Amino acid sequence: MNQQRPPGFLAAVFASLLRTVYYKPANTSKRLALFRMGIIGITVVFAFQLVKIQGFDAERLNAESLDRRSVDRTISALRGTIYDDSGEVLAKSVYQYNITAIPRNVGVSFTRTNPDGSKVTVTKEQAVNQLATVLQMDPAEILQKITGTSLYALVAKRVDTSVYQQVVDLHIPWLSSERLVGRVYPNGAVAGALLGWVNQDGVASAGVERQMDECLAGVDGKESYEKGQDGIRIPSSAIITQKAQNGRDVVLTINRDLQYYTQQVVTAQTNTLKADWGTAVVIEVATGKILAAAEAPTMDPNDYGAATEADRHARVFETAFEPGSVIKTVTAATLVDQGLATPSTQVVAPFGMTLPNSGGYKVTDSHFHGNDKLTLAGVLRDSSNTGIMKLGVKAPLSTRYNYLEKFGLGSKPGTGFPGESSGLLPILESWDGVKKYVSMFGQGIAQTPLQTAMMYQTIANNGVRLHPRLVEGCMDDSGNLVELPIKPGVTVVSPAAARSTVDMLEKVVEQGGIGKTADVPGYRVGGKTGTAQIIDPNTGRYGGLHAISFIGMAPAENPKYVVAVTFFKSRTKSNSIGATPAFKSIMEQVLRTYRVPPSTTKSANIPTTW
Amino acid sequence: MSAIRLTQPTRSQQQGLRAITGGKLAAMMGTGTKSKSRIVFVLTILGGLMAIQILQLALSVGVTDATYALADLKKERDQLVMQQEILAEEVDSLASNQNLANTAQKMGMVSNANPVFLRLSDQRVFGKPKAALNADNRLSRNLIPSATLTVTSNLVDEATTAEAQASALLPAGSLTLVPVTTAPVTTSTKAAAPGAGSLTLVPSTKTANTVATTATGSLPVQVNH
Repeated sequence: MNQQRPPGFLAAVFASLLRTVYYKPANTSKRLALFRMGIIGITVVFAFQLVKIQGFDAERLNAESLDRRSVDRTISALRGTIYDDSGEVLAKSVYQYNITAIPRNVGVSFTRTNPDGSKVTVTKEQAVNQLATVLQMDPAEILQKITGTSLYALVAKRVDTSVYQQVVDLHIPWLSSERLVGRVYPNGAVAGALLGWVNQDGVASAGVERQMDECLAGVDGKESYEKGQDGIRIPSSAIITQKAQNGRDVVLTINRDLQYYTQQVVTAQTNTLKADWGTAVVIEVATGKILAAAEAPTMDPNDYGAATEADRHARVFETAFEPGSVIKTVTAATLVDQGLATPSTQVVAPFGMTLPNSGGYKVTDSHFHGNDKLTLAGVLRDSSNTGIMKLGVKAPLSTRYNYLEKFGLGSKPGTGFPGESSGLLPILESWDGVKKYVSMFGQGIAQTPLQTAMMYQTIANNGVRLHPRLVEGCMDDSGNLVELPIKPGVTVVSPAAARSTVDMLEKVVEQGGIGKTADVPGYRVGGKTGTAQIIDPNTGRYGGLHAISFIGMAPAENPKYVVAVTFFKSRTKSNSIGATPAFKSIMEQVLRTYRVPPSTTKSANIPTTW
Repeated sequence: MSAIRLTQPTRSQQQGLRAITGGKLAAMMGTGTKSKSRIVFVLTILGGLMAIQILQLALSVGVTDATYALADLKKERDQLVMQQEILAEEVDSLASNQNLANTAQKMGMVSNANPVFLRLSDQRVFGKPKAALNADNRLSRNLIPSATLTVTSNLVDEATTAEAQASALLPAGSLTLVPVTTAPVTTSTKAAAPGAGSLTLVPSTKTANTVATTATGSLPVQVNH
């Protein structure tokens, strides 16, 4: 800025100072006049300068000021960590680096100084090849990016620190970098769809990341200073610092290892069945905690862009479909709770039945049989559609409707998960002659795998339905876990009715043709098969493929865990025989993980036939 | 002229002179002293200013020096943070479910679906002990993708080394798997807490390289303006 001062300015000031000190004590008024002139002169000079700087030189000065190297820097706050129930890291923030180049500075070659002090000439091609090896990129692609006269080219996006370090070690003078805060999921696709992701602008876009964003997100800090030509901050330059406030941590109810195992099983079985997708949910009965919520195929949040739109969603929470026969358990529990039936109530179940007031709509069982003499327990064991309908009509439609509602259908389970579905329970008035009946075995209504699992949690928990929990809580500033509020449970059926229902479910696993394959040796297990037809959205009719499920609990004498497995559009197995191996495998792992001792008692003695 | 020379000014003449010049001469002499002290004053001020300037210069040099020292230390800190990040990446990768499953499978491990429990109070055994067999429904091969699985346990090499050591130490036909105690990096998970002498998993050669190269990189960390 010195060059902006008029040359006469300092001289005038100096002269007036001299005069003041040495002027002869003769003429005071002359001295004063000179002073006045000086002041006027200075004012004129100032005014001139003002007009010049503000009016004529403004543009040039603005451009020049850019060279003053003022730096405004955002100090990125780190997003909180997501932990599983045992402190394993599921998601965390790390530094990542964009590798950039200055194409204009790329020469034919450069001299590299090795760590031992020796110098070696590296050609552009050599440098590009070395860079390509480190970045695992095509050399031609890098070459194309660094060619030109621009001052900036992005060579590689968001590489991790180890790759960055290797790039640094190449000492390529025309390379530069930008440090960013990124998100890493150390276990890849384990709980991928559940965790969601944070996009490159730092916006939490799905899953727990979005649900708990308020807890996880931090507040960026600010810093501004001027730096010299060497990039070092000029010491006297002003620094305004606002400290970055890091985000807080979130703890989930998920168990990472169980989640991994469950996901492995679901993935393998989905592949075997050539199904569209598969899900598995593990619920702790006494608390409603979701210990695992697996699905296949799913996404790796580290690379969410590679996943299809459908795979980015957590189907366990978001996808509702007709549940099929697993709902017979709810119908049976309703009848028992209402005192309209007991597990040994007898019924003659034919192969097929034409529904009244339905225009001749016929419902049959899945396998041909004669008129079977079954009890309610037998109806569940054989999963007889006709049997459950004949017994189910004992309860008025409104009662059954209310029970479905109390079991959680039509309302969100309440985990707070983004996109959580409430399922579909059409208003009672819209139920026609067909739906009144088929709803007893899970048609005409739709629910998510989580909702189905929670219905069985209700049965397992002495008739009290809890709200499933996915997020344990958020850490406060001093590192203590602040638990999310726990909603009180809803009593749906009496403890006795719940117990009777569990007894009946045990018969399914003990005696059922398919149910037997779900047996876990050494343990009493109760469960129910489900082979649900799927409506083809194009035709509005049921298609040939099924959603096959098995939902069960163990140990049946005092159920501690519910496992719900579903495979959608299974192609190699058309009934739940395709789901039981996965159920069995997961339940075994659950019982092992939580050290549940094998059962020492026998199941209740209930007749299934008469 | 001589008369003037010969005669000393009389007292009265002196008095007369004083009468003529009077206080003015005295005043003139007094003015001389004052201007001297003024010069001293100005010099003092100038000296003071110069001292301040020098002091400021010295301070500025000191501060600038410290700034560079600070920048160096910050660079060192960044290096260490980076080192820590690289190691954390490796630990995460090694401790991931995927790596553990793959490694376990390579070691021939199969999960046993038949747990047996012993109740200490009455020494009762629950469950039937059965050997773990690699039945079809026993899953070991990892099916869950992970983009962060960058470093994996280099078990094959380690097993070969272990075998070589074993064959050197033990007679043929004896146990071939010996504990490795000198592995550079060990994985630690909550499931397996390797004590002294237990089998350790060693990261692949890639890890070793990355760890060894603690280069003093000169690539500046550029920030978004």
